[in-house]
Amino acid sequence: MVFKETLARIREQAKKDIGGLTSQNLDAVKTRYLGRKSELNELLSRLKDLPEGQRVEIGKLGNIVKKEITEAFKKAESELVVSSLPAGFDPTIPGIRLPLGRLHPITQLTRELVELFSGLGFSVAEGPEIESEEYNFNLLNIPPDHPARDEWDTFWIRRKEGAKDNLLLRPHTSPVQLRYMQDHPVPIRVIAPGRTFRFEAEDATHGSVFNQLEGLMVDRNISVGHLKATLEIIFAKLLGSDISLRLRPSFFPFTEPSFEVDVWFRGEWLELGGAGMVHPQVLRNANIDPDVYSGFAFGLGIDRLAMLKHNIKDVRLLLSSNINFLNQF
Amino acid sequence: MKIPYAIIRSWTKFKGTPDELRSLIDLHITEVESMVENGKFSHMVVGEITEITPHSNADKLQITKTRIGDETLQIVCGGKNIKVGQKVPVALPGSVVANGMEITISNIRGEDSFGMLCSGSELGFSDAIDGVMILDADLEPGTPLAQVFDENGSVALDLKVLADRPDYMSFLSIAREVSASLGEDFTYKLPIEYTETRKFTTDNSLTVKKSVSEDQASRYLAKVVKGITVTSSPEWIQNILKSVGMKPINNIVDCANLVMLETGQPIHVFDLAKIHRATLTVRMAKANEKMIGLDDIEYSLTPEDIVIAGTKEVLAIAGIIGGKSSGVTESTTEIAIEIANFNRKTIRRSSRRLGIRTDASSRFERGVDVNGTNFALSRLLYLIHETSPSAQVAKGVIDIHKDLLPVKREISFDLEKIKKLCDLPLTNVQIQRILDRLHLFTEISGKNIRVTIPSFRSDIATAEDIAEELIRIHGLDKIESRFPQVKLAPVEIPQLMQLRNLVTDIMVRLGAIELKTHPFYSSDTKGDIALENPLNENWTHLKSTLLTSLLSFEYESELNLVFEINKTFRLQASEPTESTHLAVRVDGPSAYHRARSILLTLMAELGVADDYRELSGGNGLSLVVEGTEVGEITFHNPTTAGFWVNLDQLSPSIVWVKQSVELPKYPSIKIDLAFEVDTSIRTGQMQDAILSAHELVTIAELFDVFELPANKRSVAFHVTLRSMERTLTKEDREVVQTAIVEKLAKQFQATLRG
Repeated sequence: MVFKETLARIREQAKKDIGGLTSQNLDAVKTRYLGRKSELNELLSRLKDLPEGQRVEIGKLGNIVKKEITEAFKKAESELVVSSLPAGFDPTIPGIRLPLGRLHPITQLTRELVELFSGLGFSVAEGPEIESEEYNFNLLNIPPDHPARDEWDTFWIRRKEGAKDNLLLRPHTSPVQLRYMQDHPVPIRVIAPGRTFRFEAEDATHGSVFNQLEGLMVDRNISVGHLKATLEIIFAKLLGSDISLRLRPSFFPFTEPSFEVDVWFRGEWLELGGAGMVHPQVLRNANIDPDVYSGFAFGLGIDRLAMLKHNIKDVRLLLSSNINFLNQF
Repeated sequence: MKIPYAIIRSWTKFKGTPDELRSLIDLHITEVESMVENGKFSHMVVGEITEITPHSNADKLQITKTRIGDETLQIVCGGKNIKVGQKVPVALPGSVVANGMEITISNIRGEDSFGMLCSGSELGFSDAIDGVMILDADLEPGTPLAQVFDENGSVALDLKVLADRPDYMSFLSIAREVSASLGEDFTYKLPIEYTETRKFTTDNSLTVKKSVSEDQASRYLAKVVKGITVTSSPEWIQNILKSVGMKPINNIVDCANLVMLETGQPIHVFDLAKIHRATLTVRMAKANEKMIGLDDIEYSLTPEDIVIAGTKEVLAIAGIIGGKSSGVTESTTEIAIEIANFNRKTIRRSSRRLGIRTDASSRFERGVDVNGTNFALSRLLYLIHETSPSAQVAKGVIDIHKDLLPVKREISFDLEKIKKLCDLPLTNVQIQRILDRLHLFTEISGKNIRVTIPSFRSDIATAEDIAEELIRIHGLDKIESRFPQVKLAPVEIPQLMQLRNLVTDIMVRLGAIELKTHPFYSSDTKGDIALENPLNENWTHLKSTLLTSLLSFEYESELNLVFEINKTFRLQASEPTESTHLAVRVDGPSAYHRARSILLTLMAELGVADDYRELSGGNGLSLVVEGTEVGEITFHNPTTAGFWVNLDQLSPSIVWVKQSVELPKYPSIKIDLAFEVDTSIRTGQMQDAILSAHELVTIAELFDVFELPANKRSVAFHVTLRSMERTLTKEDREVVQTAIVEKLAKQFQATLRG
């Protein structure tokens, strides 16, 4: 009955040692009784050498002892931690909100849009902010002195006498469509987010500097149904699946047919962009044969979307450098 | 463009409310920008009395709180019969009650009043009982009174005129489109036939000479009418004009205006007696020629303006405004009617330069149908005859033109193409019906469709234009969404965008807040780009630096870290160029040192080998990468510093994919060394000297600097020694320390402290 006696001894000894547990000997005591190479473990591993009847009995006893020691140790250990707290420790000490670096809400939303469209296989393009009259207007089917130009109040760049092109700050991202089509083969799937400028006095709902996202898809047999499906999925992902989308007749010189894009959100129809099928002349201007290919294009106002999404009432806050405002996003 | 609801009701089969009309036009025709109510119930709504309190300064008055929709107004009321919960008519500021009094915001014996609760007689009801009129209790507060009394007749819809649809500036076109959208033929005919009550007694006693090129005035039609009586026009004409916001003047002017509204054709009427020798010349103005307009304003003209001149003076600025000297007045008895077509670009430029936009000019600059003149003339003669039965119409008509655009033209194309483009599930019969209702007459044979386009539809040239007509009239909501089937292709993101994202993320991880600012400032820096038309005097140029404006902001908090990544603009060899910059502003204690640390961390994170040169002013460093200056870090004041980096220039030096290096096997040794040096010694140079003092030195990090007496300074570094081959010994430590101390003593007269 060496086994039984040894177990009893270990049990007694462990009781004593655990009773005198300190933060200094904590690890040593744990190793001594519960470690992989502890006497107890060694003993239990030798059980298999015993005759069958004893093996069961001693085995049971051994496990009881092990359980006893484990529980006693845990209890003693937790008591030890409590007793080692510094005097007057206060767990309710209030936390302080730490300053975090933050992305501007327009950057956040642009990234979200880029990610959504990337998921549908749209590449991203960017174009110059100082644009030529040729790309901004003429090649987009907006000739000089056409009343359609009234839709784009434009900042013009002062030029040296005799300069070749008229230059302007782009009032829309649509010229990127043309530049991209000229440089890339069909099929085309691209978005162009970017900063745009309008010669317009600023108020709570109008900024002279804002951001648009242009989208373009050109391939064989691209149709209005494709445009609708694409915009629907994007707005549903962006604003929630309970939105709905409608197109209304409109006119843009670079699309035909042209539409206003309305989204039903929080109980009202909101005008969130313009869209249409790329005008055959614009395709031709980009050396794409309109008899073979067709395409859709759309433009969305990123600032307006950010305002809706974050309930921002004054667009001017976006460019205000107001830290208290920016810290909210 | 405003169109009265009543016109649509009487010209088409539309039977709905103004709101239903609005939605129909929105969805099929064009955007309805607003609804205007210019009738007698304008600015009057239903209100609900929510509170009544006595007026402390007037026994006969009470103060009410009256809810009109979302808003509740304080209104002082003299009526005795009011009770809380009643629905009453409220006249808001801007309205005019039946006795002609205009309602304003007022103060009645010390209490503000934002409107008036009206009695029946104040609303113009003759059989009214005394006291405030009590309305049906079911009415919703805020409802326009015009709806309550079914006076929708004076409601007008203000439509957006699409730039390719000049014909939307006529009642006829809108009515035709409304009919088509309802699925009905447009059968209404404006009356133009009339019976002469008097025989012609006059001939066309007017001479018109044209001395402008054909494209400036492609048509000039003139007609003389004598024996007219100028009076006020009948109520029905006045009502139409009023409802679209035009002021009735007299029967002749009103009829001309009405025909313009109906047909889109601007008309000018001269007093024939005031045309010297009854001769008109269509010509370009002479430089500095002057004319006083019907609006009493004197216009100064240039040879870019088309004018209608008499023998001596300018009588009208063509297509824009008539002159006062030849206008129709109460004493006018004979008139010359002008129905013309002028160059739209010329009219647009003149109208902009002169700063005047009229109903005529806004139509001409969009383009008026050159074939619409005769119908407009017939309609006008009919109306003049109606309003002045004594009128004697001259026999002949002056009609100066060369080749006019054809009244009709044809296009033909493959019908399948537009069915595919629009996902149109329409049969040929449906297609024909829709187009016919728009007066686009069709012939389909096999796959081919031939469409006859009337000249008032100048916008239609291609199959796509016809496609638009079909889907919008049929209903854009009927197009089913379906996903395109496309080939897989990898998505490309521009390198500049990737770089911006990378830098932005590092800055945010460093705790910085991203700002965006306007690209404008005022500047006298050479090479800055000026705007031709700045919005204000502080925004005359495009920024060539982002940091300047970042540093100009005033911040309440003393601990700030903000940054902006945006385009900057500069002229290079007279051509504007753009480059993307990062600008960072640091506020707080040791701002400059923090800025240095942020810049260092950023460059290390980007894998860029950075080098620095001291600025000549000693207020900072320029950042040098591969021999080129790509940025600058500057001291602003003890608690503010900043830096900028040209990201385009930095781009080629960035390590996009980080590479693993072997981790050290042997422990390092750390030595802390504090030196006393003259304050003129540059700490950065000391650091460089330590790093190059011995090959075992791998890191030299500044950890403490403070000033000592006598222009001395204590500068302390953590120095880390490490070998990749062996464990370092005490001897190594001594050798290196000696090397460092000697080098710094020699180079900077530095002495090791304590």
